[in-house]
Amino acid sequence: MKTGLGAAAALEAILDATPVMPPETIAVSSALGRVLAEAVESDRRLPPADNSAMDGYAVRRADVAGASTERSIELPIAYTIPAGGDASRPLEPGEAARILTGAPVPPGADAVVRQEDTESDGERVRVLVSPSPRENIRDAGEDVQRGDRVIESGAVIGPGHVGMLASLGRSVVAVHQRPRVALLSTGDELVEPDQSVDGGRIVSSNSYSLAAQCRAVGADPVYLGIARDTPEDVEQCFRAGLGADVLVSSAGVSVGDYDFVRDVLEKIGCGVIFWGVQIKPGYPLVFGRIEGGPLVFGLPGNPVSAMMTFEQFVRPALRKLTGHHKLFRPTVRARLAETLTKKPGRLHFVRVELERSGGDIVARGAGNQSSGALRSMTRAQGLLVFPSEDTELAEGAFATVQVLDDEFFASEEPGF
Amino acid sequence: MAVPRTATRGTLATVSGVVLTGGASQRMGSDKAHLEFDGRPAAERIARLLAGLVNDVLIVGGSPPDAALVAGARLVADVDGPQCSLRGLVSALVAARTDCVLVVATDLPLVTPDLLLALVAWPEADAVVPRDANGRHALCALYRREPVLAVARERLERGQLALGGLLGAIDTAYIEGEALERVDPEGVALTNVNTPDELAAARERQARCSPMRGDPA
Repeated sequence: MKTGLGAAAALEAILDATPVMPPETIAVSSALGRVLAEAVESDRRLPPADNSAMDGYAVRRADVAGASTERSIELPIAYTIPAGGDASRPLEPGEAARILTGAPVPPGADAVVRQEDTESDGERVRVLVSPSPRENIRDAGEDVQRGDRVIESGAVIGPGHVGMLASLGRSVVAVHQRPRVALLSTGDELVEPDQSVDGGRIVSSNSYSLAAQCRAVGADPVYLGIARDTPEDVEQCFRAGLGADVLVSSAGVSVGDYDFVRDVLEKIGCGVIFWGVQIKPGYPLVFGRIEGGPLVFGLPGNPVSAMMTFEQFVRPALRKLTGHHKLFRPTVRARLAETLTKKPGRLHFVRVELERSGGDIVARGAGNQSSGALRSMTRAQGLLVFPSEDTELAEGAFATVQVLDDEFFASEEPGF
Repeated sequence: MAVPRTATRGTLATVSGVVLTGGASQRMGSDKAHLEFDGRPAAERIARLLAGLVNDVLIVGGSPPDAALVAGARLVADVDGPQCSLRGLVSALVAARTDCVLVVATDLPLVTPDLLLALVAWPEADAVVPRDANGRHALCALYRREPVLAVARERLERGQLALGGLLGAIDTAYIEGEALERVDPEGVALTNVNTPDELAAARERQARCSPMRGDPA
């Protein structure tokens, strides 16, 4: 077991031990946001047949060559083809066919004249323009050819993918299973939110914030409850989570009580890979793996430390389990609105609010940075990375910020 | 292919419902999961029934028809091991998202919501299994994931494949006698369909009975 790893080494150890969830097949209509576990190839052409891009008239260009407003050319309307209609009857020379948008173009026709460029009494049509070759015709297979690999394995399924899968005749699709995350808190002082906090008791908020973090990343949290500070109770709670893919406990892993948690972890067959990461907040992080069982994360008990270690270490593991290739938050380079200082030795994650100013993104501290001050997590739109050996980031300097809040990229302007 | 995926979603959030379709179907001569019953493949029929009761619906093993993947349902492959019911059960428990897992084999097309709800409501045990004159119905039963998975997995690895042996090795409760009659008064819910003759008999029997209560299909 290693102790006091740097953040990058800790992350590497975690991701090395993290598998990818096996696939499951689900209805396409349920697949939004899931990660594709198969490459999707097309067994058909899209569009399946040449079809009209306009309401108008299918013609043979030779019949209307040189047509104009001054010199219109009149043709009989031989038949009408609605969308989804039958276009097996060829268009003979000297004929026009009424055609609607999306309808298949009949054999023999080599252009569609849009309705606005014609005049018609219902039986005959006067063509007022001379169309160019295949004008207003969408070619069969112009979007997708048979055998095309349309969506790669590993794609995150968005609305466009759902529509394409349906177009390809797929009603079900293979995606990676979502990981189940068993959550428990430890501490005699902890109570549920609807219980009395008299006598120095504290609401066990971590299970709630951690469950929300699980859901936000597409994992399924399972709450195991609060374990009391006895080895027996902690062991019982941990054992209840052995069937999960990931087991996350919070509290009980600080220097003072780590030995007893370590004993329990060993007892349930957890090989501890490391304890302690050189970050702030959140040094006392434990990571291990149970052979044939879940990954095990012991997070610190302070509300911000628990969320921060989840964010930096559990979330990427859950992304990997879920089949994602990109495991981390988007980052931006932000200009500091104020000078930040710290001691060297640990990488700090500074909770910041973000705003756009001129062409820059400006980062400002999101209030009290204590590891117990949860309010800052309600305000933080990003986490500013303050490198471990740096001691000062000066006002006006640029630093990397992990963007937590998708809403930061939302806009009040339409962009057009 | 045009399958409406509008089945009512269930409300038992702490229970997973599993259709086991991985059987060899040797005696039937065709895949039992595809066998139509009242115009629907058996696997789809049971999946729809489960989707009316629970949120997490799985189909385990085999190649069920796409239509069986009703809204939210998911198809997972069997775990490694010899092809047998125990492997199907282990696969179901591995993939289920909740601690209580209702398992229904695809060759029980007449299973009723009343019987399944009775399994869920029965006083807590590792397994709750109906038992009638034909014996124990281990593939129409409720299992608690954590205690059963460890034992079932070990037995699968050791080659102890009989489900009866598993039921003897865990804390199993039985619904039988009057209790079973109360939830299945016509005695049809556990009709096992393994052969074309049994299918014909089941269809005839079902035609004589009242429609299934709560069947979202």
